Amino acid sequence: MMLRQASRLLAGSVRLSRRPFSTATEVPAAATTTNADSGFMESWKKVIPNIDPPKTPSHFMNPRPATPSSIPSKITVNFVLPYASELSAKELGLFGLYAFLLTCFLVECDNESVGKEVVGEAEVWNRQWEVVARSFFRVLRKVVVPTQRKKGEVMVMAQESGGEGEMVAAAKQREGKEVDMVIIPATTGQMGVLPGHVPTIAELKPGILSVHEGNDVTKYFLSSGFAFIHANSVADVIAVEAVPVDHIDPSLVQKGLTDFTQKLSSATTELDKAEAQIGVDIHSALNAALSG
Amino acid sequence: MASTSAAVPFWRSAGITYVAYSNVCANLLRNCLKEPHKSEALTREKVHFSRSNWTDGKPQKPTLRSDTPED
Repeated sequence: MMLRQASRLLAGSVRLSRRPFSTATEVPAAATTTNADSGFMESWKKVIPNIDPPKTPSHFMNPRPATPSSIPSKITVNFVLPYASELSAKELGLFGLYAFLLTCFLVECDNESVGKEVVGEAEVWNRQWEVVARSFFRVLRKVVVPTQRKKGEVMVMAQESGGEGEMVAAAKQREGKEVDMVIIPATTGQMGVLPGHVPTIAELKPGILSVHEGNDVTKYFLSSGFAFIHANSVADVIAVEAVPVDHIDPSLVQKGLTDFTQKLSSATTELDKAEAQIGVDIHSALNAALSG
Repeated sequence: MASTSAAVPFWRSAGITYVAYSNVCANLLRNCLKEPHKSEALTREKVHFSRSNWTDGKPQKPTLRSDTPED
């Protein structure tokens, strides 16, 4: 009983002392913090009123451009690779890369629908992934349902996702590229993305990404990845490996195709068959890219 | 919890994870590049890691995996 009263008194004193502190510490923070952090700031101040809240990742990131009320004339494409960038944008490239990793995680969860079930499953996972899992849901909610963007937790997962290290790499800040249309090679077929496109997350298959700007078309061959199309006509395209079509060597493609078709016919185990099938898919896509 | 999910991609049913699938695709693509780009790309493929299992709070012998691009 004493303990209960003690905690109540403590809470009471915290509440009283919070007012002078909140005005003092919030002024510098408010200038740079977006609304996204207000929840974190409040809970911090409730528990630790005497220490300034740490700077969250949101503090360093520019907020996502707001959804314009009318459809813009151009779509901004961020095309981000782990090691380089083709057309990519400030901050949003980072966000896209993290979102990509998050989506990989979700795909690994064997659940391709973005829904409450996923969150339920994800949150049951052990501590290491808990932070990651919560951030997934927030990120995906932002992408699929365009409301205000909370960026706080997203950064944490970059360090924790580990896995096959190649995909986790620092993406630098760059300028955005505004184009008229991009055609992305989604698993459901070639998808054309124009400004004002419905927010979508598309898993990509090996294929060509074509960027149309006025009369110029630039084509890149992507190995696989994801494309996130946001409500504010910004698209993030993320791939592990992407090359302009002229960098592909046709003789190697033909050789690879014949090799893998042969492996496919002689494969015995499920695993061999799957690997050969992947080989055949990618080489035939390369072939189509070269001739198309 | 989701019940048995709908169409599972062929690589998933064969036991390959998405991350592994994506890396395999990337490796195959790198092998099909023209010369100057190919050697740059191959440097990106290298993976080095050291892994040790822990028992009773002590690390056992680590396995060092230094990967050169081959599958």
